[in-house]
Amino acid sequence: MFNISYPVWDSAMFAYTISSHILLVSLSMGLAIMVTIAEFLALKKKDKYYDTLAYKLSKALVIFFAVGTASGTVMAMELFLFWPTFMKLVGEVSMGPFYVEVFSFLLEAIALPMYVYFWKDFKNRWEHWGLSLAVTVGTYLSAFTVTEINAWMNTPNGFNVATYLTTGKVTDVNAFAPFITASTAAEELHMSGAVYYAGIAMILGYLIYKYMKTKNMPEKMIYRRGINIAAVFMILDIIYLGITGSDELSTLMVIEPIKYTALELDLHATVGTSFATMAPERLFGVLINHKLSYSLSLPYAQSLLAFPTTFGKGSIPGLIPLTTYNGVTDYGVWPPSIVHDTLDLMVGFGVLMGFYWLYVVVQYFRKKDPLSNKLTLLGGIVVAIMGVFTMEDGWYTAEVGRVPYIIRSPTPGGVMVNGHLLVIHGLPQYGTMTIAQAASTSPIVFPLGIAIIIFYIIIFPVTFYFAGKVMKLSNVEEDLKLGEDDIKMEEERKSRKGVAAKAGMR
Amino acid sequence: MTNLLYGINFDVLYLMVVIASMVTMFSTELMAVVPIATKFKSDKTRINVLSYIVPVWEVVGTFFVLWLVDMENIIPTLMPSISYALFPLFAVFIFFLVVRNSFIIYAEFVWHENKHFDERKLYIVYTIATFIMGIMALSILAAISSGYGVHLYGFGTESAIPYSFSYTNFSVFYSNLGVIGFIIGALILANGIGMVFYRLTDINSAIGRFLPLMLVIIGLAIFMPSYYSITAKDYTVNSALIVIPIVLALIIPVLYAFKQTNSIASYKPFIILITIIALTFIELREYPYVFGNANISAYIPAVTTDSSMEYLAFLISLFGGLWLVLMMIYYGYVSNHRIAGLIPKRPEEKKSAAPKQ
Repeated sequence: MFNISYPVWDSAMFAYTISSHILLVSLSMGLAIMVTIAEFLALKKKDKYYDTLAYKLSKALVIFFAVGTASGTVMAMELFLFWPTFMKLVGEVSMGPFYVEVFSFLLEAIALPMYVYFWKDFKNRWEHWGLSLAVTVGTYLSAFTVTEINAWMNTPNGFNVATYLTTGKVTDVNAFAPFITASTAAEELHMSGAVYYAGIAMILGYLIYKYMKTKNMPEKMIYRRGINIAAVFMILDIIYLGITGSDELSTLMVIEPIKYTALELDLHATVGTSFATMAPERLFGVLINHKLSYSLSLPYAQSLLAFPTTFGKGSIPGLIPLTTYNGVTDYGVWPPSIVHDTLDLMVGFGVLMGFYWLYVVVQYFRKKDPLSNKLTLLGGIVVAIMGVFTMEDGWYTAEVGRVPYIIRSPTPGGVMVNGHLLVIHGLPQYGTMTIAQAASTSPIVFPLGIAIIIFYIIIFPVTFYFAGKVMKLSNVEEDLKLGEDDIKMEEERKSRKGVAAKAGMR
Repeated sequence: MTNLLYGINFDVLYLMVVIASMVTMFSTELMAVVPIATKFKSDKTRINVLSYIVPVWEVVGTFFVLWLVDMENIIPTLMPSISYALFPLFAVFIFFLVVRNSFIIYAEFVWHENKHFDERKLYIVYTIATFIMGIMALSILAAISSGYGVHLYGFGTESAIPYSFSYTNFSVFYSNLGVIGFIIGALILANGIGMVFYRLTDINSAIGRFLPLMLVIIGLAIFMPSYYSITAKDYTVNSALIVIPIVLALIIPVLYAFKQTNSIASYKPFIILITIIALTFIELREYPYVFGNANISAYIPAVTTDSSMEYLAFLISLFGGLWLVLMMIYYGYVSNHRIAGLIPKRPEEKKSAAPKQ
């Protein structure tokens, strides 16, 4: 119809939807945890500014949640409509995480309306705060369980893959296994930090912008508290992300060597026994005729990062040996080489952001207020944009690194049977299901896809504009009065409880 | 055949309850379409309808996902064929789902100073989107129940042909009187029950008290024979079960007609519970077949998931279901004992409160 194949169209559509969706997800997750922390601090410190911050952010949360819910439902339906073969296998083997995800989603969807719409009606403010915690837990569990499915796609388990590839039949199903696969732990650890980092980065950017723009002192106080929460969170998170990111790459090297070697563009294997044989870290570059060109090389760096405990001594696999069978290299199973550049961008931006936060920490310990320096504030906005870009870039790297497969192999380097690579009709099996096998071939995917593209193009800017407008229009004095009332209400409840306890009226 | 119903798998029964809950929750929104579209400025609409709809629409959306995931979980081998056959209906449904969510949230928080659109216009778009979603949802249910015009491949005896060949001939489907009766009857029923649910009629007048009952009787008179006809084939063993939903549907408007009982009749958790039970029995009536008039009927026990997945689904359904019920009870408690405060005041109210210059 458009001279584009179904698998390419389906993949492009899904990539488009999910890259939009994760923006909403990360922002919602960031808002949820910010609201929970802000209201907690408000109640603990009896600070009306924190309470008002929580109230303002909760309005944005409900707006993004609304559009995020729609987007999430679109995603669920898209999976079912665009990837029927894939979903059939998921339904037969690894539906468990998706099923738990729905209940997490319900927890979030039921707690959030109560939290926001009945804000003023809770006399016990801790009970109200508990609802925000439920929203935070719900949003996190949703992301966690969806990542479990993603990990299963990288290292599938819970059924006999060799039989499935040979006969097309799903046998030996263990429905509990997909909750924990070989790649689950490393992926979950890194995802948790990355999604929160990006979500809070967006909020930080907004708060800094408002802080710089407003002349109203009480409003400045509200934004200042928000910036403080976001900055502390992001400083701790960037350290965490460095550690888990390194762990993720080390795990990939062992359990998904084809993806790892494509990310690092290690075409040949390296056995790092001494400095002379250690693998360098290759920065950027392109593959020309399956050879790396125009890249920068940092000697020893890859081996040292991969094997820090043995000072770089260890073996690093190579893409060519991994995809060569009977002397023939199958270049068709190589992930697109651009994933190497996107990985380098992700790490590079991560390092730059780390330097920015280090500067902020140093300023803080030198007792200089980072918020009084315009350049530091502008740097914060740049870091916010970089944070969002880095998350999208990281997601792209992880997903495109699995191409041309939608479900990779349970064993490193391909589907192994008794220690040997499974070969069917002379073809070695490097994965379980290709994107082409999984994609829908219904002609209606084209008009539906176009409708979704147009709609997202309209809905996203409108929603962001709308949320900004809603937050801007709320009256600061009224909001602060609400914050004050909330604190008073909790104080009164406590004192009533205290009097009742003293009078023996438990 | 009757024994099959007694031996029904827990997961399938759970799926039926999920479908019944989803349809019930969504129906409460569908019931609000007419009052919001026609009497937006009426206090009854604002107090009785919007104060319910505004928080609950977020919960309703998640029931769609619960249904979809549960279907994938319980009948994975049938789902690809359904996906191809009913793709257009699902596609329109999700498109308008995005419209519905976006416009209701814009309507909730719209600011009064803007010149281009107002709260009412945004809510009207929401009602149009909800109405189209309702038509699509009813069409999907009618297609699954009847199978008219549906051609399924890729499972059972037709498994030699790939499931990507599955399709629906919509001219056959929508020209069937039973299907049309199913959709129209359900809409009339929803409006009849909706009048009680939102207390939209004047209970001091005889017309106000009996109008919902009349609509429910008309709705039932169209819906039930239609449903019976589209699902009837050669397996009418569970037909007696159809009496239960009829009685339950009538209880609500009958109780509403009397002063002593009209408050219990319009008690929302009561109506929701009664509707879920009624819909579950409607579904049980056609067990164990769906797509009865398609090129091939789907025999449910033959397409349900394997034992390991079944056990996992049982555990998650049990604990998740209990958790969901508890959350909904808490939600019911909170919403019944407190008043939602975020519905924006009407502009004229603000103006009248402001001092004259």
